[in-house]
Amino acid sequence: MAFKGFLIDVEYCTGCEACVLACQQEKGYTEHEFGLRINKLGPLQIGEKDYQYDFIPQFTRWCDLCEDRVARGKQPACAQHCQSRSLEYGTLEDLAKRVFREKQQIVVVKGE
Amino acid sequence: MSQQCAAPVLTPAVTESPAQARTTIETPLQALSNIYGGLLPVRTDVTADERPITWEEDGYTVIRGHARSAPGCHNACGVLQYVKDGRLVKVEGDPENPYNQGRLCSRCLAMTDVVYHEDRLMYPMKRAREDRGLDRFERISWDEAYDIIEAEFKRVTEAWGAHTIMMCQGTGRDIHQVTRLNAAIGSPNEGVPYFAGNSCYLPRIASMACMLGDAAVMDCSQFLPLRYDDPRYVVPEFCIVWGHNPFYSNADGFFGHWFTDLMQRGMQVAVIDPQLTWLAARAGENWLRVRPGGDGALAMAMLKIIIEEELYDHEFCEYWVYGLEQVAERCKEYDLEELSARSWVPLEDIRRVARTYAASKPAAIQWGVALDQQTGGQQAAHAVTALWTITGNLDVPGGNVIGRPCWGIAQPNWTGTWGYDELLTPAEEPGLRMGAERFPLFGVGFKNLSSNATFESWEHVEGEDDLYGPYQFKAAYFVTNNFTACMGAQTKMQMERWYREKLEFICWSDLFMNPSMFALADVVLPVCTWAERIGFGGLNPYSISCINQAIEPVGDTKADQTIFLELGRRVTREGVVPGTALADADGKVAPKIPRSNITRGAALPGVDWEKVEKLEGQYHLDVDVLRGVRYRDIAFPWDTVEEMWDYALKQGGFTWKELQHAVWKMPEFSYRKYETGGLRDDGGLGFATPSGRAEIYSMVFQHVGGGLDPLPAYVEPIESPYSAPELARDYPLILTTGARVPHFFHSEHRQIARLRALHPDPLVYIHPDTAADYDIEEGEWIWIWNNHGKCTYKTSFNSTYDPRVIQTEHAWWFPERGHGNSREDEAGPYGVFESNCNNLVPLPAGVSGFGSNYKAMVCQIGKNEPAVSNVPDTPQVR
Repeated sequence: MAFKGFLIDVEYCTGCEACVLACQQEKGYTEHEFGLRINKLGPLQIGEKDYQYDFIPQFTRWCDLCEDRVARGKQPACAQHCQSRSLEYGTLEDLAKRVFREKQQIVVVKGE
Repeated sequence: MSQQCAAPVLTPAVTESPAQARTTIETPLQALSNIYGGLLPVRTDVTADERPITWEEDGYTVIRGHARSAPGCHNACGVLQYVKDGRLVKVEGDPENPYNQGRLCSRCLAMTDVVYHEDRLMYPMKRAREDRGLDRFERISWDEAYDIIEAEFKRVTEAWGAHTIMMCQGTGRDIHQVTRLNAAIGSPNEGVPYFAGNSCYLPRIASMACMLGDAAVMDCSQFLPLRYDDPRYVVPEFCIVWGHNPFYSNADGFFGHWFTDLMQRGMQVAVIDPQLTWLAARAGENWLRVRPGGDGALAMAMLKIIIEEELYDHEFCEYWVYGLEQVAERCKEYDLEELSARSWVPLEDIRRVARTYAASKPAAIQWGVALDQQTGGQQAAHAVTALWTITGNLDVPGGNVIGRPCWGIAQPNWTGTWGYDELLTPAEEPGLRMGAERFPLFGVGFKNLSSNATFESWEHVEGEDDLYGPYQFKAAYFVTNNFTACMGAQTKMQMERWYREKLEFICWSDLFMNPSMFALADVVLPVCTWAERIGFGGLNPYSISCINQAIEPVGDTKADQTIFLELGRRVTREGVVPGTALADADGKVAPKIPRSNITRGAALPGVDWEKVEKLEGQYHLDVDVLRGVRYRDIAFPWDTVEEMWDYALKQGGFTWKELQHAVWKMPEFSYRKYETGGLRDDGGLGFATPSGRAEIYSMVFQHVGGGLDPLPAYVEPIESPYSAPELARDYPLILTTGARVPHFFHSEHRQIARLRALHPDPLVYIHPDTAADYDIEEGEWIWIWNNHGKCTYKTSFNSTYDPRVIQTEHAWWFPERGHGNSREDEAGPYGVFESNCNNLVPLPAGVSGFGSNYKAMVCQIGKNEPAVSNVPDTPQVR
């Protein structure tokens, strides 16, 4: 089975939510529909001067991985517009090879 | 006049800046012309680069260009506009554009919601002056709107003088050609007269201009077409981010996510902020949680450490810096323990960040508006500028680099004051500019009107001391502004007591009906977005970027620039430009000499041949000195906006059409310009300052006098726990404001459903322990108040704030509520006075006329019912 999805670099997602709007614009969604949303984690005080404050994209079943765009050789709308370059599209095998440090997560959106 | 409007306090209670003796050194202010742009020689060596500007893709026509305003933005991102059947369907980032490299923020990605929003203003309207604030607008034609404006400007000019007409702006970009409009009617007054202390960027610009002769910006490779891959570029090892949240605020010409690009390439950061921003969390121990208003103390402490530990760049200081000894002497006056105590940052943390910054090569500082929004902001900016100067990080790759207007093309932009030189006489500019005398720094080159001089003029009573109140404004043209929601300090008082009562005529342009416009406008002009017009973004010093029209204007709207041109042709004053016509001894035009007797270049009374030839060259005129050059010949001589842009772009050696086909043009950039003679008009080495060095002791400040301090200093804000301890007993918490939300540009975008859904309510961030002291729960609406006013916000708990500090967002209003009966409703039209932190802002500015406490007020808080309930007249003091 071929799994497709995203490599998310949680260390660099700034929570700007450009991806949410890029998706809504691409798909013509209303404010109540979204292929992904951003969840906030923290700020947490881990140590005396050590904090964790992350944003984590989470995909919905509205997401079809922008199949139309990908077929035309483009990136999914969210990945292209991600301002911090922390969303990468690909197959599970591809994405797994690109992981190079902690706080990077692979999310499989579709299996076929 | 409303009974609720007490006379405002206009004079600072405390000033700690030492008064300086004036000297008589004559100082050439080349510095200012560098920032404002000047008429440089026309370039002929620019190659015509061409890029595809439109193509068909997947059933859409794609039109390539740049985003600008309206709606407001401070960047100029490359965009691809997808159009189908004449309708804008989507906007994507242009992957080839070096500025944003394919990325866009949420606001551009919701652009179609703005363009086709049902609330957009679609046609001009009028309303009687006595009906201000009432729902009595009436649709009119553009011709009638122009007729009214022309007649009112004429009436006010005849009764009070053209200088009593002001042109007001918000923080929208690419509307600054309006300066040509006010100059054309004969008024030198353009600016933000409601914005106490002109508290946005100008304090920092003033410091840099006077010290360096130029303005500097953090180098994120944005000057280089290949960006991070350019071999000349060096990634900063370390960067101090000072009072700034780049990812959400996108400051002027600064794409915030260049920061993540650099961090992914190894840059380490320190963050100075009362708020644990996302970036501060990544700074770890180098997050310095400064007291709001304590930035100057922190900056002086860092400067003192770097100088006294001799961590500065000795060679750079020896060759290129003026004033190190004086600054060292000044630093001796301060005690590090005291500075640390005032800043609320432990001394060991200050030492570590100062030492790391000084040891890192290169290192950069990127600062935000927080430094401008406190009484001592200008002096703190002086200290920060000294930091990057003495460490040798000035104009080097990966440091803070000097940028100039591309090819000198700055006229139709923010600092350009386009048209002033040609259309105003010295008696008018700076002679009649509001505040040029009151605050000397405004008189020597900063060509905005002074807000605080305006405040004083409103309260001026004839017969009293006439020093500060020479005249009051009588009419205004607001070009896209919503000051009751954003910028205006004690905004309800300003609106009711000054603007509604004293202005005889007000016209207003914008995309949407906003609360300020509803409260005040007599004539409403609907404008169109950047997708509906042509233009160019030229404010940033990296590139000139084409704004390329994708669709026809929606409804009966017009581009701001079209309005300026059409209105300008009507309202430009009669008369002849001084120096271009033969005059008799009284200065009156007197064509007594036969034409055949006039020889070019001959000495003739009233004729300045240099000026005549300059205007001839600029406007392709053939000047007849018997007739002279009429203002109408040169103010708006163009038939189309495109012709106007051809004129504005002339210095670059290209036309607007050529720019359109290039999409963007970047001039060649070089580093270390002080080593090559690239900064001084005389071609000499060094900086464009009187001494030729980077002046951390500012000769300009010394020369200008008026209480300006030539040395960096820590100036405690007025009404703080240290400058006003008794006041702080009644108001024990510190309120800082302006926590940024990525989906809104200041007061805009509140009606865009997809954006508002992500952030529905105005929030105040508060430590849970502080909330517990007041029996306040998370998500509860609370009151925040002080001696100036009150506001209500919904709480969001955050235990990383200092428990003595709370922070609100800014610029909130509620389009969904409608305008209401705004004359009666204390909350104002669209509830604009309700969740409005600016109600608490004191009016006085720093000694320079710059810097008011928008981010450092004392306050008290208490429980209250939800915002929609009755608003009490007086807050309940616990």
